Amino acid sequence: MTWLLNQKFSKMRVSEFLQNNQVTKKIFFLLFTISLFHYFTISLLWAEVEFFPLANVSLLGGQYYFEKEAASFGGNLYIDLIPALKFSDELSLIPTYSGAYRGTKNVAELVGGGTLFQEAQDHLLSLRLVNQMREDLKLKIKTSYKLELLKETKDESWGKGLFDYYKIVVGVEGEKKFDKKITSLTGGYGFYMVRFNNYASLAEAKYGKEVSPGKNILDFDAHEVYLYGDFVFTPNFRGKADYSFTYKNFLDQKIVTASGDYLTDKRNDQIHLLNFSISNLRPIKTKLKIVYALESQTVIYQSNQNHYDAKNFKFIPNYYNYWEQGLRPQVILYLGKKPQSVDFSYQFAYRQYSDRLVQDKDGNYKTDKINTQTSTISLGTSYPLREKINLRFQVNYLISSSNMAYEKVYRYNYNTTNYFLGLSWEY
Amino acid sequence: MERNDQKKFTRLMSGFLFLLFTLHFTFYTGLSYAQVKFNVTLILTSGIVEVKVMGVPVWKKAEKKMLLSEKDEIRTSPGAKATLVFEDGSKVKLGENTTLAISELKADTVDLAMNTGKINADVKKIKKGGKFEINTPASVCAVRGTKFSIEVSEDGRTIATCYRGLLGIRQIAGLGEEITVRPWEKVEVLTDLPPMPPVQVSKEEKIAFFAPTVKETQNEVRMDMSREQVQAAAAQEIKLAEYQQGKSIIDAFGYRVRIEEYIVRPQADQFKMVVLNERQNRFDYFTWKATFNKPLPTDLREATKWLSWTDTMPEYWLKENVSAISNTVDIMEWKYIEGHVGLVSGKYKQLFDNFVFRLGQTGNMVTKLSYTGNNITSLDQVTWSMSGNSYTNANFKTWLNSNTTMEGAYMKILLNQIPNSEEKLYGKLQITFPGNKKYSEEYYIIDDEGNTYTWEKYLKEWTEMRWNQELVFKADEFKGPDGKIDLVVEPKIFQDAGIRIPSE
Repeated sequence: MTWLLNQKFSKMRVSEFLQNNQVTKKIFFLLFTISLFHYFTISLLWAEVEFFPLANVSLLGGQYYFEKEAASFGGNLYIDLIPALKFSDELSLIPTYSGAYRGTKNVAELVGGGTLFQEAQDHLLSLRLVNQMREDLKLKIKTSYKLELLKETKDESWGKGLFDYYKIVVGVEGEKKFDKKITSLTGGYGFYMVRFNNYASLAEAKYGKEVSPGKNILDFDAHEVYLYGDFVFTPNFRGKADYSFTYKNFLDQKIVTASGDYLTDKRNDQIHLLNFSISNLRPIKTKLKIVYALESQTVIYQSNQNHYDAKNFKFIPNYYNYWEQGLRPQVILYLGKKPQSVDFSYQFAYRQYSDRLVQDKDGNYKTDKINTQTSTISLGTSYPLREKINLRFQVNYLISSSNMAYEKVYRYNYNTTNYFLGLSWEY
Repeated sequence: MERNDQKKFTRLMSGFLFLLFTLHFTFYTGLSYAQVKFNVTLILTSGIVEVKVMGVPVWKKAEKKMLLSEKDEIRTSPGAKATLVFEDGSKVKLGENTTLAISELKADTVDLAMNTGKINADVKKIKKGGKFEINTPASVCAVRGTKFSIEVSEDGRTIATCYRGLLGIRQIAGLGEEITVRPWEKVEVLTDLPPMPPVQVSKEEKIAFFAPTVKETQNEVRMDMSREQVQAAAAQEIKLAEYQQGKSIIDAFGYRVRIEEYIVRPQADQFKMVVLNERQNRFDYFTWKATFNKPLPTDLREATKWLSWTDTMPEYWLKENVSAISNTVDIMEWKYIEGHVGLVSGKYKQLFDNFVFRLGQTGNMVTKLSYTGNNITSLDQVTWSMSGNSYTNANFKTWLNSNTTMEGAYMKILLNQIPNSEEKLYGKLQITFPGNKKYSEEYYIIDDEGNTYTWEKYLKEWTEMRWNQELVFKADEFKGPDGKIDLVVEPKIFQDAGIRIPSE
């Protein structure tokens, strides 16, 4: 076997070898299985396994309004199941199932291509192995699979939604704890692949060879690196900072040129994301506490893809490039011993496209670049009915506005409202 | 999964495996190496922690990762925490205000003395013949390999709680029998009385025991969810762009229509616009190929100025203009050839000397209508031809008027009539060709939801111009899906492409 492997390695690069050799794949999968088995059995033999099942279930009913038009009453169900296993103080395995069904739209959901009717469900399975290397250092490896299904029109059934996608993630993460104002610093790398299985460009899938923009144009692979820290300024005054960089590589989306032709080069995007948040807990009386919080999010999105508006013969370079700044002040009141909570937040986001041009109502291009603003007001309350069971009510209102006046295919200026009432249970 | 994805998945899993092995060797090899020598390491967690090393009668501030030996002592201040880690992985966590002495520290024997405070311990299984004991002013706690806590008050009163495994508790002065404490039991021992019988721990104590692990687990899940949100946003961004480019809308029948529009350049002097519409069970498309008098510039807007009348001779003008629509089975084609620019009433205008309108299926197209002319400046100069008969332009107009019917609010508007407020903006134009062969065009003015506008709604929102238009073409000769070609296309494109029967 060694001789065979050596021969193989001498003739091709390692990556090719891994890709092409079926035997190797089987060996790797076998080793993978053995390794997992090894981990679990050794850990089981060495120590008592502690089982920590955690669960959250929320069942909410509500309604969504687009401007003044109401969608029918719908329900939302969220389930989180976490059958965590602690093999020892050093080693834990955290499997998670997170599922959601949404019959009532979120106010922040896209309003293009049909605004009122939408059902969605998503299922996330993840596995996270946490190794407490030292008292102050953790190493984690994780993998997950997510499936999101959407029904947006009456002719779509579950599994047939145009924008259904699945995502596979693998990653590694390290967490260092400090006895300082920075209480922990977490850094990691993740690779994920997103596939829209029901979506292929019509040009390549249906029309022929005359136009060649690529077939699976929405599918992409992404590499992300991230770093985030937790801060404690005083026991009641805390903060978080989070930076991530994501590189998205579109496998089959070709670059469109000023003449409307497609190059063989493929699209790739880079995203910089910077978040800050601070929160301050202020006990007013024994049974009244207030939390003030402020979140800030900055996004810089860059892409090498352009856009060609065929019906207007208009080429727009750097079509996807934008920067966005968001702010979200929030106040939460905790009342009583159990406690009842009331939360209020206002979220504002401003997005400025660098090259995307404004159009008038007829679709004629102007010289200004598109900007969009969204403001979201949320008010909610949770009332403890019994231990671990809360009654939850929430109402959200969103206003979107833009200097873009062409709205035949996508609405830029609108408002949406939704409300939810339901129960949540935490185990 | 497609083949490429399978390959990628294999690579991902290989990477995951590599990480797993790295972790494995780091973890287990590290432990094996550490077991060479037996001692205890002090890990500082927080606050002020002091040690008194054997032979030195003063307390000194403890150092990070300090190695302790037999007869050393350790104490924590208010708010401080510390952990002792033994070679076999056993851990003793000291809470605040705790004093602990290492009375004996050998390979198989550990004897600790605790005067006051609280410890939480996780002691690995004791080997045969070995012992792990903790002495307090009231008791001797013999550990069998377990998780437990011991709390000692200032008066020496000791409470030992067992969470895992077993504990043996006896009174320090030998009063009474040794008590065995089982998981989720606790026992209280006073300095001058035999140990009391064990009692069950309360629910609150159980919750408190699990709380740190639960919190850690929740934190891990929260971090995962935070990454998940970033990744989900990346997927959402893709969908947003599709909507903003108008690639997905709802049609008048409630079905999703995917729309793609392209420009291709078959020759230097040509462009071809392709508009594709897909619904779940059908695929329709429109093509428009324009051939110009000279090679086209990169920016096609320079060349498409011919679309309107101009005061000066346009630089670019059309020699040929061919538009077609299809449902992949049936085809309709409007073909304008022998194009030129004519000066009409002082303005330059694009004109064509020949026109053909035909429909049917590939290889079986029927010419329904055509005209011919010679360097025309007006349609009055052409000769129309239909089913073998020739017509002057005036006669053709008369024929067309008498064989065309129009219905619906949309047509009323075209005819300068006012529809009723609740009337839907739908219209149908039907022409009956010779042989009683019918051809029709149906128009729907629809909103984002695919609902057909009422005249009232149209009047209310006409300034915003948010509507889309859907056109349905039918002909008796059609054999394709539902006997129609159904397209959601910007009306302006149809107009520019010449999808209409020419008239003046």
